[in-house]
Amino acid sequence: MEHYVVTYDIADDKRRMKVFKTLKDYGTHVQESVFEVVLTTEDYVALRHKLLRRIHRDEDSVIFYRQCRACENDVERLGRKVELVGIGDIVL
Amino acid sequence: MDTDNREYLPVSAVAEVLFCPRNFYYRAVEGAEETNHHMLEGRFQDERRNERRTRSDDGRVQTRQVFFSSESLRLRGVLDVQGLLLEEATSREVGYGYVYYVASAERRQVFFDESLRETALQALAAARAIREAGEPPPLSSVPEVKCKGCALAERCMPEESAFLTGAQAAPRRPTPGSNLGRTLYLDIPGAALRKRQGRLIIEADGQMIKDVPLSAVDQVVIGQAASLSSAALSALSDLGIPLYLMEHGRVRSWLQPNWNKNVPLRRAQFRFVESESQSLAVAREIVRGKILNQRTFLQRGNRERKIDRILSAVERLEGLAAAAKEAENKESLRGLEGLAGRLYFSGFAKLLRPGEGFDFASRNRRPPRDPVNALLSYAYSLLTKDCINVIIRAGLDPYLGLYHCERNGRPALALDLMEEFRAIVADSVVLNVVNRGIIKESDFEPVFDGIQLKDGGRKRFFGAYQTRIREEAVHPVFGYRANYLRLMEIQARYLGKVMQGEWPQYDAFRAR
Repeated sequence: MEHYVVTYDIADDKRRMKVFKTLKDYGTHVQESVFEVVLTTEDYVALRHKLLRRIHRDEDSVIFYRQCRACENDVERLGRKVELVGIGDIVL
Repeated sequence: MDTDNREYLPVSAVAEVLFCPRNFYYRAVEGAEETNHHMLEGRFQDERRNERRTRSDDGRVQTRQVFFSSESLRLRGVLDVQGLLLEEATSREVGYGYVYYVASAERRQVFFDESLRETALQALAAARAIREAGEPPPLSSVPEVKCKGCALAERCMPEESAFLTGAQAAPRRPTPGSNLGRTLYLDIPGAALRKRQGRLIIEADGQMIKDVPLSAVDQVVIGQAASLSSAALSALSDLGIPLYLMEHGRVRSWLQPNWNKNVPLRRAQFRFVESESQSLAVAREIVRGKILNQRTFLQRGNRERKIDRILSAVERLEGLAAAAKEAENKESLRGLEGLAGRLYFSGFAKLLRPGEGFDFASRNRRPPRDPVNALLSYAYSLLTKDCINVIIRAGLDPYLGLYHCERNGRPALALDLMEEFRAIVADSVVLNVVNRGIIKESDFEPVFDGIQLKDGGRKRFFGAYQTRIREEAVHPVFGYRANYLRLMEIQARYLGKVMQGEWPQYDAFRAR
């Protein structure tokens, strides 16, 4: 399981929507153009593949910042709370 | 095994057998479908490469993919480089091909000389032999270095096998498991579970209350009547995510996809269960493990309190465990187990903190008549569910047990596997939620002729159970640490390998 902060900058509205929807299938939308994803290596490979197919490589940009175990605990969050998915159970 | 000799093999068989005969066995005979990121990466690269399938350059045609089959070799498949099929199909000699290495972006020419042809034909013969034998080729046929990053390591357990056959020191860490046990627990009456793109949407009273990526879920548990869309069920099937329906705290039904193709293993299971001596040996070990873990559990709880009654129970349990190892038949094992159970639960009652309103005298059930019994029953149901989960993952049939009998359609093998984890996992959660006040007397309500947890309490109890299942313990044989869910799966696979005759004798999980 790896934890990534994913940011994106997409030149075209339609493509941006597609990238947004793709990321939504894998993680938590935490801020405008920012997702946090907690994924198995297999899901990470699948997500990267899907994104590569959707973006235009000369105009758009998607960045995965991998969070190491230590960095994960070193994050400070102010303001609005977001509940990250992918880490543990969801009890409803 | 009665396989059809005329059957066509996939062309990948040649490469698979050359890479690892066990890999070929698991894929071709057991129908294993496990993938890992290396394989996915390769598949996606192929996909990207094949998007432009054919291209015409100065009159010559370059084709990226062709489907071929060969009558004389009984092979079929999509080819990139294989020459033997191409020769038969075109009746022309193919002198060479190219291998493209994705990682280094290099293309290398390969000449189809006699020795290469010979290797391919020998591999093909080996593949057919493995298929006919219908059992895993010995581990000694596999160079160790190939197991690193193998998608089938979870099934094959190469390090553990090497250790048990004395070829290697104990493995330092368990083969990584792909079952992380992240559970979506839905216990809202009338809720709806639907799929939207790659996500599960949960609605209650017409409002969306949760939106969860499927990639974040390894298991779904439905606690109360809910409606499930067929699209959601298909998605769970495709992804191999099991779903369990619980009713009144018991497992009613389940949907567990993709793991039951392993016919040779289940054949071995049926043969094993039918052999009185073999199944008795394992049953003895299961009961011995259960009693020893009951003893350890009482000992841990009594470490500071030193209650006399528990001290003497601990001693007697030790004796009963030893007797279980010598039991002459399953009937006398059941007697020993019952004796141990009464001793153990009288000790367990003493560990419950007094004054919490939880009076517990002895075990009763169907339905449980007091809060502690209600909690125990619920904990055992959750444990049964996880045992069913790991047993099916291991490819075994959960209904055919070797100690419990299959009457009333009980998942007998799950109940067998569960014995060694009852005290350490389930009873431990119960003691914890009672003594720490996580569950109170007010969390219960009377039902027809017993008592049950109310909705809120059930959720809190489920949370406590999940916490326990993720705690780690040391495996008694392999010596490494793993969480309880993983340990249960390792035990299920252990059982499978004993049934198939790959590993010598079964050793129950024992807490240290």
